Amino acid sequence: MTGLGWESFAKKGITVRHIDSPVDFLKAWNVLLETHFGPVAVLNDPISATWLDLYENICWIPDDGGRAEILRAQVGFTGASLALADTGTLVLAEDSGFARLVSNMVSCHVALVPENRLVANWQTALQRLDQGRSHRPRILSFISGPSQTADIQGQLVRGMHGPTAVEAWIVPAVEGPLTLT
Amino acid sequence: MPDLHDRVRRALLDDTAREARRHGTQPIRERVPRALPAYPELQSRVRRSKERALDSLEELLDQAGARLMSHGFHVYRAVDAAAARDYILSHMPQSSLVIKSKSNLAKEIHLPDALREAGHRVIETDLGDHINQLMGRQSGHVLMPAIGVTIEEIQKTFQEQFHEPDLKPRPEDLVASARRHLRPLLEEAGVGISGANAVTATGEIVLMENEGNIRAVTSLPDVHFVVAAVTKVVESLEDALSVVQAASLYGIGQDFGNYCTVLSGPGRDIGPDVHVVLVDDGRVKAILDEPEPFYCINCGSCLNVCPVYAELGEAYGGERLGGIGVMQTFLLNGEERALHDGLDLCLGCQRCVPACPVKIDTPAITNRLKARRRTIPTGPLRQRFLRLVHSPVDLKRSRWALSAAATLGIAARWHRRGRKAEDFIPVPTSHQPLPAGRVYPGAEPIRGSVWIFPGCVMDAWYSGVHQDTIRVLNANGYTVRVPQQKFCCGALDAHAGATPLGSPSWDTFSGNDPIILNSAGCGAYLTQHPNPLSDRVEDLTAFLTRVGFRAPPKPVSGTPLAYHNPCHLAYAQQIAEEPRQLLAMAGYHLVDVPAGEACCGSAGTYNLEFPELAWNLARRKAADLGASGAALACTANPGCLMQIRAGLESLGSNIRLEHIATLLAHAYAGDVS
Repeated sequence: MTGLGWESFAKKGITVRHIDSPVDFLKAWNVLLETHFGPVAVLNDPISATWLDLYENICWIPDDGGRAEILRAQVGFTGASLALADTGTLVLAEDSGFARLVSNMVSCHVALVPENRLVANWQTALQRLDQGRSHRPRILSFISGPSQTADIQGQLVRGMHGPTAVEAWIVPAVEGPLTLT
Repeated sequence: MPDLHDRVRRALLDDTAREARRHGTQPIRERVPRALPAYPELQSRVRRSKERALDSLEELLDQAGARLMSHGFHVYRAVDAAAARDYILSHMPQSSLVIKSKSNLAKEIHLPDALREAGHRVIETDLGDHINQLMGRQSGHVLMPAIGVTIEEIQKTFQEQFHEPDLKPRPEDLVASARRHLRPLLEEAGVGISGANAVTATGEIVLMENEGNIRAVTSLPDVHFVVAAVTKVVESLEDALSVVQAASLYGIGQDFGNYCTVLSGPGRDIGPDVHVVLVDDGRVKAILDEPEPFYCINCGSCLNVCPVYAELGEAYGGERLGGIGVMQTFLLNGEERALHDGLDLCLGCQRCVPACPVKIDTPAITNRLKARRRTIPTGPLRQRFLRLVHSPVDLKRSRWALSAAATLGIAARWHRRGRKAEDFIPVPTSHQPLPAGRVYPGAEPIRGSVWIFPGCVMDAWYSGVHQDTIRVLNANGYTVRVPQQKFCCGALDAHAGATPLGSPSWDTFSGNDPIILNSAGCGAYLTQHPNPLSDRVEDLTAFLTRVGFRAPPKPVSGTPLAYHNPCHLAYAQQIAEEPRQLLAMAGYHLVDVPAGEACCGSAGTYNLEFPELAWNLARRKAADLGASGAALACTANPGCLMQIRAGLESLGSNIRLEHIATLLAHAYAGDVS
């Protein structure tokens, strides 16, 4: 994916961290938990499973818990199916319905984005999603930053109903289907 | 709801709400033009997709219904509001806690009221809507429902209703408080109700938002109802995503909303059972009549630039807001409701047209709808004026009367008072109307010959401007001919919703020479409405730019000048830079004018119909020109000229306001003081 960068994600208020090794991941994890202390829910998707397999005290969704555990969690990890370079958007494609909950009902959402999943824009993303598939994933969530509102005097405030913080951890390439769960 | 004029009067008195609206929309007006250039094709793409969709709506609705069902959704086509309400009520458990996200259609079909009456508890989850719900007020904007509410009012409401007496009037504290208060309700609710930005014929529901409440409403409860007008259907997911991206870009200047949810089916393992309720309620019939108002994607961009909305807020409209809303109401609920909601309130400035992601020509359609009325509900003064413009004899007499009023100081006195329609008393120039058939030879070397369009008011009251226009054209090497017949272009009648009297003598402009106008309003009307002259009419400034302006041999020496570009040049004819360039070449130093893009409120005969509103706009424009620091100002339309002069006099300002032709002519004569 030459020519595409991650700059637009920072502009949208998404914290970008580059993860090349398990050590990098552990460092990022430690930094994260300093500011977002509390229960961690992790969506059991192929990307999250690769990186968080050895971590303890996390609740795997849906294996260890469901709705109630997600609603209690402070931090939610999911993989990202794709990322859009032009608008700084994370795309979560799923059939199950859990990715939407984990990415919306926590204070901090961390998306693990394989570096080969960065595409130019939503048009390219739709083409990638449609490749070799007869039907689209049941739920697509496009996420372009922390929840926000300008309903009070037009002033932008972050953290309305959804996460107050969103992080994109760029991990090495992952091949395989784009649908998370 | 109170009578229209009462509503207008009351809204004009509410300075606090107006200031809050300005505060809310100003950042958007600044952001949108910066965000748009990256997406040059989007506007045309969305327009085409909406045209195609409404052209084959029945077919697409059938396809959408079948595909949505095959994806596992329940689908119901409701013929009217009652059917939609009944379906929803019969498919939800008794005494439900209902969380609802923003839906203009739900409001239109009175769904929240019906739910409450049936014993359900409805919680608006969009922050703006929630504030309105707590305060018991109507929505003030399609995207920013609480736009006219001040932070102190929100603080007080939250302190009382959330029992948090120590809340400070800080946006972040108030948002955090609302989040704390609403979160348990989101978790507890059994039913969710959302709208939809688009429904695709391929069976998807597309929703865009910034807060995350829609994601909660569509994922947490056991049942989710999507309430969407049938006109939300588009052909494909690509079309739908273009729609939401356009709504985000034009509505708030954001390249993509924070959250976009595409539902191609209910969650397989978790998530609500989803009912898609597609509501017709007269739309299928209405689009056969006028489809364009139903291309609207509800982004609110038109409201953000509308001078009338800026003054009146939610008083401009009923259940649907602004000019676009009133047109839809006309087509769905009839003439009477539309009149009551403010069919006549559109200034016709056309600023909303380029601002619309679907290029809906609200002013032109509004005029068409107005012309269908059986009676023209126009005030007596406006009617008299409309009769006057078609009578050269009466116009000539009126010039004497108006000149006398100016000489005796009556005009100045009435302008200072500046409240009623009668107070707008024009001050004519001292020149006689142009002699019919006269030819004014151009200066050597001759480049060609043109006609001047004398018009009605312009010729009778501002013939001095005509003389200046002729001087400038002559100095540029053009011979100017005055036609034998003079007539009103018809713009004033059209805007009032009346049929122009008599038939214009178009053939008085024989041959193929360009016809030059110095009145932006006439130019806009003649170029936009089919007539034998459409291809030949050209505004003075556009013409001079096109043929190459011969700058005055001795330009003026940098006199500071504030220029007001008339809406009918800027938005209707896309002439913005030309007048500025000509003035600069003539030696004037153009200074910045705050809110330079705002309408002065003249708008044909609007100032006679809604004088208080028009006086507000005139004074605001005069104050903005004053803030520029220049002692000299100019514009390019007779309506703006008299309106802004009245505004300046009303404020006791010493700024001299001239027509652009006059200033250019002075530059050639070298007599600018």
